[in-house]
Amino acid sequence: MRGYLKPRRNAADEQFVSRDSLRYAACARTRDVKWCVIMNKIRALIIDDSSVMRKIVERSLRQAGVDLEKVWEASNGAEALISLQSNAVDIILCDINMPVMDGMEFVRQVSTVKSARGIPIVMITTEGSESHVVEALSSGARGYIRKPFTPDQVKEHVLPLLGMKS
Amino acid sequence: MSTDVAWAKRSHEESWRPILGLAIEEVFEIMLGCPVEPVSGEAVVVRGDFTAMVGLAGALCGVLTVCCEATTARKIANAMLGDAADSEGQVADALGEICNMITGNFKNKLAGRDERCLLSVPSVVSGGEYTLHSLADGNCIEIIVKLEECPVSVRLQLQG
Repeated sequence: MRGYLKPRRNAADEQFVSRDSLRYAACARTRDVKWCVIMNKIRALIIDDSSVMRKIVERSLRQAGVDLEKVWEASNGAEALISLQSNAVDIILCDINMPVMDGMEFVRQVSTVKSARGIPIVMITTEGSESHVVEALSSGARGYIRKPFTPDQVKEHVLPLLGMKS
Repeated sequence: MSTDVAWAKRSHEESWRPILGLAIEEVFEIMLGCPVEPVSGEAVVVRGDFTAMVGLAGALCGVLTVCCEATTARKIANAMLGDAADSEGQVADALGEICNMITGNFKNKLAGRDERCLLSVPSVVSGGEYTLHSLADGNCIEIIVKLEECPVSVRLQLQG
C-alpha cells in the first residue's frame, strides 16, 4: 500500500487520484461518510416490501445524479436493522407500510444500532397525511417523499442530505 | 334505503369520482410515464387475470381494487421496472404497488379524512376464476382507464 502512495514519474495528477482512492477506501472502512460523499460514491439502504419499488427507488437515485457504490435492500424494518449491523451506509430510504416491522418503528429503533446513528433517513411512502409526516420527522427521519414520486423529488430531498447540490 | 341515505351516497360518489380519477392519472403518468384515458364503464368489460387489493380502515372503510388482463399487468410491470419483468411474482408485486399508490394518493387528496384512515399492505389475486365479494356495502365507484388500448378497472368499494 505504501509503495502505491510513492510519487510516480511525471504523474502528479495520477498520484493525487491514487491518494484519493486510498483515502476513499479507508474512509469507506471507517464509515467516514463526509469524505465518501465528497467522492460522490454513495452506499444506500433501500427498505420496501415491494422488490419492484426498491428497484424504482434505486433507479431514481441514479437518475437524480447519485453515484451509487453499493445498494443494500431490505423488505422490512427488522431486516434493515440486521443489515445495518454489518453494512455501512450513507443514506437510508424507507417505506412506512410494511409487514413484520413498519417504517416508523424502524426509525425509532435505528438509534439502537450504534453504527447507524446519524445516518439520514428519508421516508418514501404512500402515507402522506400531516400526522405521518410529523411523526416520521419527530422520530428522526430527515426527509419525506410521497408516492408517486419523480426523480426530481428524490433529487430535491436526498441530495442536500448527502451534501450535494439539488 | 331512505331518500337521505341514497342522496348522501350519490353525493359522495359524485364528489369522489373526479378525485379518484385524478389519483389514477397521476400514478400512471408519474410511475409509468404513460398517460391513461378514462373510458365509459358500460362499454368495456375488463377480464381480471390479476386483481390487486388494498384495504382501507378508519374514517374510510372498504377496499380499492385494480383489475386487468395478464398482458396488461405485465405491461405495467415492464413500464415500472424499465425492463422486462422476470416472473409472475414481479408482475403481481408491480400491480400491488400501483394499487397501493392509487389508494394512498386518493386518500391524501381527501382533506380531513386522510389523518384517520389506515391502509393495508396490498394483496394480489392471479387467475380469472374467482368472484370478489367485498363486505363494503356502500358507495362503489368504478373507473375504467385505457393504458395503450388495454383496459384497467379501478374500483373503490366503501362501507356506507
